[in-house]
Amino acid sequence: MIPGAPPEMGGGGLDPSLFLMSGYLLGMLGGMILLALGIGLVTLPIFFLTLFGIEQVARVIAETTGSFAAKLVLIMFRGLRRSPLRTSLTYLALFVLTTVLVFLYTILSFIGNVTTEKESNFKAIVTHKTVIPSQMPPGYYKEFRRIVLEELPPESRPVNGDNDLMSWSFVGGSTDKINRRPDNSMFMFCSEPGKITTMMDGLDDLTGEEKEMLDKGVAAMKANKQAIIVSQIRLKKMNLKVGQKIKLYGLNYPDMEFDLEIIGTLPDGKYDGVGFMNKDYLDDLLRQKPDDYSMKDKALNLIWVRLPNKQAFERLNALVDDPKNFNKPPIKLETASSGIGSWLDAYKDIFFGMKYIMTPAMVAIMCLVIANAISIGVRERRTEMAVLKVLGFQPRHVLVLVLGEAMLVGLMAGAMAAFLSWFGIGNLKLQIAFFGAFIVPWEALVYGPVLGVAVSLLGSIGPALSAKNVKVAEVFARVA
Amino acid sequence: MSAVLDSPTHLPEAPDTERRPNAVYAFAQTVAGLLVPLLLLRLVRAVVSPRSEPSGVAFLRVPVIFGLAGFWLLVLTMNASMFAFKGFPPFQNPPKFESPMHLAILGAAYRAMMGVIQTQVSVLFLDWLFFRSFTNIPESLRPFGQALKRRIIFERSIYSFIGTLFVIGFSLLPLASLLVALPAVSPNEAVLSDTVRPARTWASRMRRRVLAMCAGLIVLVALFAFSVSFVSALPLPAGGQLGSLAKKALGSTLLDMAMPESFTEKQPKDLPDGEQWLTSRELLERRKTLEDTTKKPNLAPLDQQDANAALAEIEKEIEERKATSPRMQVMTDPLLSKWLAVPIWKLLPATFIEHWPFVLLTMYGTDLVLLLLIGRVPLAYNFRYLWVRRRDTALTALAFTVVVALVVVLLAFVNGMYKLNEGTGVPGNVMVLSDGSTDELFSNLGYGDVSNVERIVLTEDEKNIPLPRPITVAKKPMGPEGKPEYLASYEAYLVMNQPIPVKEGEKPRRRFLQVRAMKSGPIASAVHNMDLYPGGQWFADDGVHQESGGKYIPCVIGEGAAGTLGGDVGKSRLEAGDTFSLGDKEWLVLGVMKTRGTTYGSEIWTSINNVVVKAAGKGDKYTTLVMRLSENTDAAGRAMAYHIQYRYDQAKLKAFAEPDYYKELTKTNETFLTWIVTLALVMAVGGVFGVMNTMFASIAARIKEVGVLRILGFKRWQILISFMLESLAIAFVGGLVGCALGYLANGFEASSTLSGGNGGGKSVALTMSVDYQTVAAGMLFTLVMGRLGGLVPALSAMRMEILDLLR
Repeated sequence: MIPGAPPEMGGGGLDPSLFLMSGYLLGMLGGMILLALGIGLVTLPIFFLTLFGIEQVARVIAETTGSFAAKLVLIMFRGLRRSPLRTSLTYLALFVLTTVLVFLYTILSFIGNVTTEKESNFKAIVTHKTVIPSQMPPGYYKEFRRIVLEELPPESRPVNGDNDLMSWSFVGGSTDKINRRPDNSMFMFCSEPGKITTMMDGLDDLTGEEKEMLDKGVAAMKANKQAIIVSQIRLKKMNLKVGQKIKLYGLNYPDMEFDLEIIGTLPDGKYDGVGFMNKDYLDDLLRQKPDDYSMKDKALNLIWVRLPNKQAFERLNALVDDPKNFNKPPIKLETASSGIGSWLDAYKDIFFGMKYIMTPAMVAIMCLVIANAISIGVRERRTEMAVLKVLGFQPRHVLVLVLGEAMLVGLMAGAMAAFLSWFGIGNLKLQIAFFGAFIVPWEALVYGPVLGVAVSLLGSIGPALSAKNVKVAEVFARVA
Repeated sequence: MSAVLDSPTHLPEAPDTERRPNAVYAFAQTVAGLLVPLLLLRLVRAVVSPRSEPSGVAFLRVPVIFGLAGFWLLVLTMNASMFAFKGFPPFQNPPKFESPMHLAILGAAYRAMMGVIQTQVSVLFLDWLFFRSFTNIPESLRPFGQALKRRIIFERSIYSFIGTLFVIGFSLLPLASLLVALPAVSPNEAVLSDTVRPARTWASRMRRRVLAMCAGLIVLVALFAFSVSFVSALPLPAGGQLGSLAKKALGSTLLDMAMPESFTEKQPKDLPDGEQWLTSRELLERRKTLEDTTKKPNLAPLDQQDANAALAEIEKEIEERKATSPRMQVMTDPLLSKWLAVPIWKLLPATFIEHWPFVLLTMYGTDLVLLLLIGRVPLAYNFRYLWVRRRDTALTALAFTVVVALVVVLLAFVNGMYKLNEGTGVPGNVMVLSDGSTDELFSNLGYGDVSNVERIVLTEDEKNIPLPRPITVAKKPMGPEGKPEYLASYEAYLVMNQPIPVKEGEKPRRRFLQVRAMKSGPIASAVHNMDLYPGGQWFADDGVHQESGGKYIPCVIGEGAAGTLGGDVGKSRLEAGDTFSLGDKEWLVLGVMKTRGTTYGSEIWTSINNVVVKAAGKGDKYTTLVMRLSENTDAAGRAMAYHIQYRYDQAKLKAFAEPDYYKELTKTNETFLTWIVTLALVMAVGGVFGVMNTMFASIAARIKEVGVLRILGFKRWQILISFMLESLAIAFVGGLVGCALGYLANGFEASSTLSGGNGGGKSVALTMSVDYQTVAAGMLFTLVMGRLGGLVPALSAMRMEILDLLR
């Protein structure tokens, strides 16, 4: 018996779970406060420093040129400084909401990109005609290569010949023979090493150090059939390091053991969670197996080919569809975008929800936040607006003043959110189908500030019009 | 950034921390860099700001101040440059300034900015303490004094911001607890009474603080205790997404918090080649698995020997690890491990874990009722004011409405997924797959593997305790002759690729369809409790549709699949008699299955004697055997599954009680739930700041009225509660409308996937479900937002003195 422990744990007497619960909830509360503090401390000083900088520039311009516009800008800044707490709260709300919108845009634009055909990099995929997962006899690759390189008319053949063809076999293995779990398993794309840097999306356009390192890795894989390159995230999950030799027990290749050496990692954010293995090693292992080994005729999962144009695709499609070329099993050729689109079909309602429900709702919330803050500010400053009018400011100037304040906050929040998402976070780790990371596109740097300005404009137009229409006589009558 | 071996055989791995700031290094580095100038400044205080004016030092002031300011700027510049050009601490991976140039410059500017911020943040407190000691700045140093003043104002605003955040956070506590605990923060502040005798000594202040904290905690625990007991007595069903969410959020152990694995468990550098290092947790898990394995009666002798050897090796490694790892010592200690090495949710009341929204709602409700009972609160005044400012009230409530409606819709989506998990599977069904397979899709059962399984007679449960009566596979009279047959459904599950009919000019598209090929349709129907809508009929066992002369492949389809395929031909869903094309063959729908609430909705069921299934390589093997037991209970299902997996020795098989198999497919649900909660929290920021702005402005406009209320005899805490109630009322109305709007999503069909995280997964058609849990979560969410946004303004109203209010 454990004194004080709950009965299900073999204890009796006082149940301390309520104290623990209170303690845990308080701890959680403290954690949330610290998180908010972190966000505020990282972004608010930059926000206020930037505002201060712009204000000083405007002041210098106003003093040297006497420009009315610059003076108007100075009044805007004074308005923002009038209630730093409200300005900070509004800025933080817009900043956080824009960050989420940037993430939503990142996912949607990535999905849109991979499911759009690209004339400049027209890839097609060969798979089993009907069954998922696609499994084809390894001999199909040789035959397909012959058809592509010899039977297709010369103008329809891949520009780089054999270098534009690539075969894929999926190999899953666990480091634990008995207890095969996701955290001790590795999933690998088994292919010709040389094609990794020329055919794989995201790896074929690397530059600088990343390219140099991956090229070295590919050279090492060519020299050593058992060498593999694995994503950093997978290595970390499996407690493995570069340089380690491991044994994997086949998951989809029963009774097959893979002796492998980890010789490098993939660039961060690229093909997270998987590894690349040399196809020759799999072929060697398959050759050692008896003829009735279940995977012998199923070891080829898909073939990629890069074609010069859509016409070449149509021609090749006709050859692939011809039963005299491939009939047991029949296969199909589809564009890479269409193939990926099929996998993402199950998520279509989720993407729909992101695009047409969540995004507008977030924008609406942003508008409401800014509308709320600005309308309160306007109501508090009705006397100030009236004084400005008495001093000769036109109603349109008052309108611009209020809109300007809101748009300044929106611009800063949008720009900051986009910049920190793009540069600070870089990629969003989220598993959707076989995509594990979504790289924040550079366009976010443009859309973020634009979004901030647009929602500020939308949200503040009502209060701004109300400020514009302030009746001087009414205000002063009330003051009097 | 990638890393590969330098030579074809060796090169160090790139650390995954590169390009990311390392907070610990940054802090140490900046403190070390800035402490020196601060200390120097302290040393020369007598010159800069003398208490009396000694002769002969005045001429030193300007050079000293400028020298020190220059030095400080130099440190800042050096710090910024170091970050810009050498990357983030510990500077192991300096950035490359190569093309594209603008990116490199932007990156350098960002890092420099982070360097300066880190410097400033880390020394803020020391800085503030120091500058406060400058009390009398000479007139000759006016610019210095002004700079100092600005700096102090800036730093004060930061402290005020930090304080505000803490107050916002504590608004989540019950008000009763918060009021009692308030002297912990300001011991001389009167809360429950109008005045309080000032505590003049440090000791008396500290005593008040400690007493207040204890009292607050006691009130909190008492409220929790009442709420947990109350909710326990309610007839609320178990299960659902909210329990899963709580288990996920409270899934770590106290040990993980005190001694995080990543800090305390380091892989040794001299690990021999080919050997994999396991953490303490992994070692213990492996020992558990091996212990289970060695107890398997049906294990082959050679495998038994291997497992025993592996177990001995693991035991040895655990003993060795104990000597060096405190984590391992705690995890293997019989007493400590029960407290420290179990997930926190197991230590908390089960009712709270399963029904936390109800517990928290009850707690907040009880708290308010208590406070209203204790003292009078000017409620009529507050609600009248809300009506007077109805436009602002409506605008703020609208923000709550949008946020809550969205949260309810998102939760309804995940709720629909959980309901599929819980709704699929019959308690007395056992699902058999091939050994080692984690999903139906990857299972391969030969005829010989399972031919005798249906004849098993089970006499003992999992713990070898004899059963009151033997459990067998149930039998039912089938066919025209009514011959009793085992309710054992032999099935081949496969996923097929179908071209989607597209209009002229559209690019070709495809979709995946799930096909379940059965040995017998009527037996499958009996095993899965699957009925057809009126007018439907099951396919013949031989898979031939006699009426069409074998032209069509006969099948029955789930409601989701009927909707999807119906869309291709402009119908809301396919019905019996309709056809579709799949695998180059025409299929005839004989009936639509009543699949609502199960994962079978997106499936097509057909006979295994089918050319398309055979062409897919599945005709000669099954993937799954599902059996209905003579006792339709969870316990019977689990006992039989255990028997097949661990005792049955005619073939290596994997077995599950059917509901357990589907309950495991929640990996995707958990991922979605995590993201939804994250999104909800972010969206809540909008609502919180909205109500905060409104309440601040509203209170500012009524300062005098608050003073009048105080004169009329309302106490400080009553003022606090009245303003809190005002913001809660806005949140409540907004949230209620949001829940009502979100309820419109109830019953909507959507598609998603279910996965257990072991590969595979199922596309499913789900029905979005807004149930009592979802509404409770929505209402709790809105009230939490209301509290977060309402407390700071309410506190500001409470803390003002009557004279200040009326001035």
